[in-house]
Amino acid sequence: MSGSHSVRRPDLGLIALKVYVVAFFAFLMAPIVVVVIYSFSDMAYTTWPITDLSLRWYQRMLEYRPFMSSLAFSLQVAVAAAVLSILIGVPAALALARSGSRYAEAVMTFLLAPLSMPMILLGVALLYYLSWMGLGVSKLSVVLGHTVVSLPYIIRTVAAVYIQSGRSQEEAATILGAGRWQVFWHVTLPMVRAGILAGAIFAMLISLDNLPISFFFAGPDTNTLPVVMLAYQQNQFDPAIAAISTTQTVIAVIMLLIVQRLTGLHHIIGQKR
Amino acid sequence: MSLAESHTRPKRRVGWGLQGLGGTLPAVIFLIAFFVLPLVDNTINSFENDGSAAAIDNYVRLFTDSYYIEVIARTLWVSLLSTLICIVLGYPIAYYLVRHTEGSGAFLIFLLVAPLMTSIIMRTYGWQILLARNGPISNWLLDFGLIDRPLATLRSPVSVYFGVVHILVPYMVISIASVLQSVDRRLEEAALILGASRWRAFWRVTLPLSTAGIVTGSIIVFMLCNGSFLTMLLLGNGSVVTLPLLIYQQFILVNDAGFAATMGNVLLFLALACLYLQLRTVRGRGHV
Amino acid sequence: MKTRSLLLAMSIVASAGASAHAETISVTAFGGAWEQAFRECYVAPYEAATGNTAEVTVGSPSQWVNQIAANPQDPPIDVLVNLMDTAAVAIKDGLVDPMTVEQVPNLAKVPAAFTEPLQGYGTVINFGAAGLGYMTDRVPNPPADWMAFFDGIIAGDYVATLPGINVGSTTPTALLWNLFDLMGVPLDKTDAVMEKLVAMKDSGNLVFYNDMNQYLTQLQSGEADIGIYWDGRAWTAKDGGIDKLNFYYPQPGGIISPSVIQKVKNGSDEGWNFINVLLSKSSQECFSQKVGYPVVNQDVVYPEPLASRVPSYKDVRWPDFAGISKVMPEWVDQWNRTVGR
Repeated sequence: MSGSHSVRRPDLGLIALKVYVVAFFAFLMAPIVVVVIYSFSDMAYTTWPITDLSLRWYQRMLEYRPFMSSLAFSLQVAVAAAVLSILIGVPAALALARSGSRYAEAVMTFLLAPLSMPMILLGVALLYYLSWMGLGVSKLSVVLGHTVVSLPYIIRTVAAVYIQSGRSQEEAATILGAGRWQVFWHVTLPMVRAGILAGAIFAMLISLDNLPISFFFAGPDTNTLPVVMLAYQQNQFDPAIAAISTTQTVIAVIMLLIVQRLTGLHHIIGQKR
Repeated sequence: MSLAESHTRPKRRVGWGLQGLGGTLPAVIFLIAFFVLPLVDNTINSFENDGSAAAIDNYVRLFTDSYYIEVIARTLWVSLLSTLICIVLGYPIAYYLVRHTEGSGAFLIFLLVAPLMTSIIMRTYGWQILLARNGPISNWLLDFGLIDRPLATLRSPVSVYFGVVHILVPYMVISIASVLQSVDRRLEEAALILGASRWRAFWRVTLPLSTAGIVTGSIIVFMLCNGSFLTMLLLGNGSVVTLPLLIYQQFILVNDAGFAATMGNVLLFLALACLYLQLRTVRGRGHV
Repeated sequence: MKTRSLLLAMSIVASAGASAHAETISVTAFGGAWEQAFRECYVAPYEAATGNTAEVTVGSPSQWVNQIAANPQDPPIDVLVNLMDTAAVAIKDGLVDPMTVEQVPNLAKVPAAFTEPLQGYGTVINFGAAGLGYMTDRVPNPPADWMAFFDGIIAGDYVATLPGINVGSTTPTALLWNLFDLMGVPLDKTDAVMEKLVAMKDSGNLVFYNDMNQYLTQLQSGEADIGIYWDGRAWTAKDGGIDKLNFYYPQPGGIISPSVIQKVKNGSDEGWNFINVLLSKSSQECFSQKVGYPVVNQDVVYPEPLASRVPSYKDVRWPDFAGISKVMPEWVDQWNRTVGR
C-alpha cells in the first residue's frame, strides 16, 4: 500500500528467504555429505565415526571390474533412453499442450502412467514379454525398459513450459511469413528448451538410479551400476560402495557441466533473455 | 495481447500445426507396445497360471479385506502428504532460484540434483547415521537442551517422510522453476506499481501463473511416491507399510506373481484415477 | 626331425580341437568378495582345465530364476548359484536338471545332507549359520540360549535387532522357523509365535533391520545392542574394524543358511564340468579361505582362525525348508497384520 512498506518489507522477506534457502540445502546435502566423508574412510568396514582418511576405497573401486564396466554401460543406457524419450516425447508434449481435444487429459494421463507403476512389476512383465519377442536379456531390452520410465518426464516438463509460453511469438512468426518448419525450429524449439533440458536431466537421473527394471535384464554385458552395487553390498558393506556412489555424483555434476556449456543450464531457471 | 487472452482463445491453426493429437502417436504406440502389452500379458498369465477363479479371488480379497483397504488408503495418504510437503518446501526454493540468483543459479541446480545421483541405499544409510538414537542430530539437540532424552526418529514414520521428501523435492523445485522462468516478470512489477503489496502481487499474479509447474511437480512426486518402496523398507522401522512394499514381498518371499500383478494393477488404476481428476480440475483453469 | 614335425602336427591338431570345442558358458555369482573368490577359486581353474570361458553375472537369485523362466528353451544362464527358497522354485517349475555322480564325479565327496534338501536337483556348495552378534561393551553377559535371548528382550535386558520379514529369504528360517522350533509349535499354527513377536515389539526394546548392512549400522550407532546375524558376516565385520562385536551360536545351535548350485535345464552340458571343478578339494579349500565360510567337500581342511570358527554341518540346525515354503504366504500375511503394524 504505502511506499515505505514496499521498500522495507521485501528486504526482510528476502533475508528470511535466504535463511530458508541455506537451511533447505543443508537438509538436502546432509546425508550426501555423510556418504562422501565415508568414502574417504581408512577403515575396512562400515564403522562410524571414521578416524583416518584414505583413498584406498577409490583404488578398490577402480580395481573391481564390474563397477567400471557397469558404470560405462549405465551411462550409455541413460543417454540412449533420454534421446529416444526426447524423439518421441517432445512431439507428444507439444501436441497435448495446444490440443483442444476433449481427450487431451486422457491421453496425458495415459502417457504419464508408467510413473506410478511399481517398477519391479514392470520389470518382470517386460522380461517375459521381451523374451517372448526374442529380445530376451539384451542391451536393447534395457534401453526400451528405461525409455518407458523416462518418457513421462520429458512429456510433462515440455508440456508445462509450452503451456506457459503462450502463442504470440509463433503467431508473429507465422504472420511474418515463416514456414512451419522455420517456426518450429526457430521459435517453438527455443521456447521449450528449458522443458526439454529439465526433462532430459530427470530422464538420465532416473535411468542411472534405476534398479528394479535393470535388475531383470542384467547379464554379463548388460549389468548396470545399481544392480552391481546391490549385489556388492548384499555381501560386502565396505566404503567402496560410498566411493562408487560419490563417483556417480561427480559424473552427474560433470554431465551437468557439459549440458551447461552446450545449452546453458540457467534455461531451467531462466535468467531472463 | 495478454497471457490470459491467449489461453482462452478459440483453437486456430497456428504455429506448427500440432493442435491435433497426431504428434502423440509415436509416444502412444511406444507405450502400448512396451508398457500396456507387457502388463496385459502379465495379468493374463496370472489368470492362466492360477486359474481364473483364483485370479478373480485376488481382486475380491484386496477389496474386501479391511487390512488391504487400510494399506491402499495409507499408500495414497503418504503420497498426498509427501506431495504437499514438497510443494510447501519446494516453492520458495524455485522462486529464489528464478528471481534471486544471478551467477549462482547453475551451482544451486547442481546441489539440487546431487541427492538424486547418490544411490538410494547410500542416501538412506546417511539418514540412518544422522537420525540415529545417539547420532549427530539427537546429540546436538541434547547438548543444547532442546530435548531431554535421545530422539527415536528412526523408529517413527517421521524418518520415512524425511527420506521420501529428500528424494522427491528436487523434482518439485525443478518443475516449478522451469515454468516460473517463463512467467513475465513485468506482470508482477505492474501489479506492484499499481499499488499491490508484494505478498498480494505474488498471491494474485505469480502463483496463478506458475500453476502448471506445481501441477507437473505434484504429478511426478505423487506418482513416484506411489510406486516406491525402498525408503519405506529401510526407514521407519517397518512402520509405514504401503502397497509397493507388499508387491515387493510377493516377489522376494511368497513368489505369488498373480497376487503381485493384482496389487500392481489396482495401484496403477488408483494412481491414474487421481491423476485424471487432477488434470481435469486444473484444465478448468487453463492448464493441461 | 620326424618326431618334431609329428609333435608340431599334434599340437596343431590339439589346439584346433580345443578351439573348435572351446565354449563360453554363463554362470552366476553373488557380488563383492564372494564373486572375487568365485572367479579366483572356481572360474580360473575351470578355464585352465578346459580352455573354455565362464562368464560371470553378479546379482540376485530372483532375477536369475525369472530370466531362465522367461527363456526356458534357450536360457541365458547355464550354471545357477542359488539360495534355498528360490532353488525350490526352480525345481518346482522344472528349470533345473537332476545332478548325479556320473555327471559330477566330485559329488561323491559331498555328504548326502547337502543334496537331500534339494531332492538331487543340485547341491549346497558352502554355508553359514545364524547366531547372535552383540556389542561386548553394552552386553556383558549375553544369553546362553535362544529362548533366554527372546525373553531378555521382553524383560528389557537390552535393545535387540531382528531381521524384518522384508529382509528376504533368510528371515523365515533364522527367526520364524527358529521360534516355531523352540516353542514346539507346528508350522501352520502361527498365532503363538506372532504373539511372542508382538510382545517383544511392544516392550519397546526391539527394532528390525530390513537390509543386511542395516544391522551393523544399528549396532554401531547405538540403535541396538544385540541381534540375530550370520557368522561369516559377523566375523568379516569384526576383522574389518568393529572390534567390540562378538558372535556365538546360542543353544540349541545356529541355523544353517546354505548357498546352492544347480545346472540349468537346456543349458550347456559343459555346466557339469564347471560344477565338478567347483566341488574339487582344491577349489573348495581356496574358496573357504577367501570368504571364511565352511564348504561341502568332506576332504577340505580348515586353517586357523577358520577352523575354530566354522561349525560342522552336523552341529547346526537344519530348518524344514520344504515345510517353510508351503506356509510362507500365511507367515508373511500374519506378520503384516500383527508384527508389521
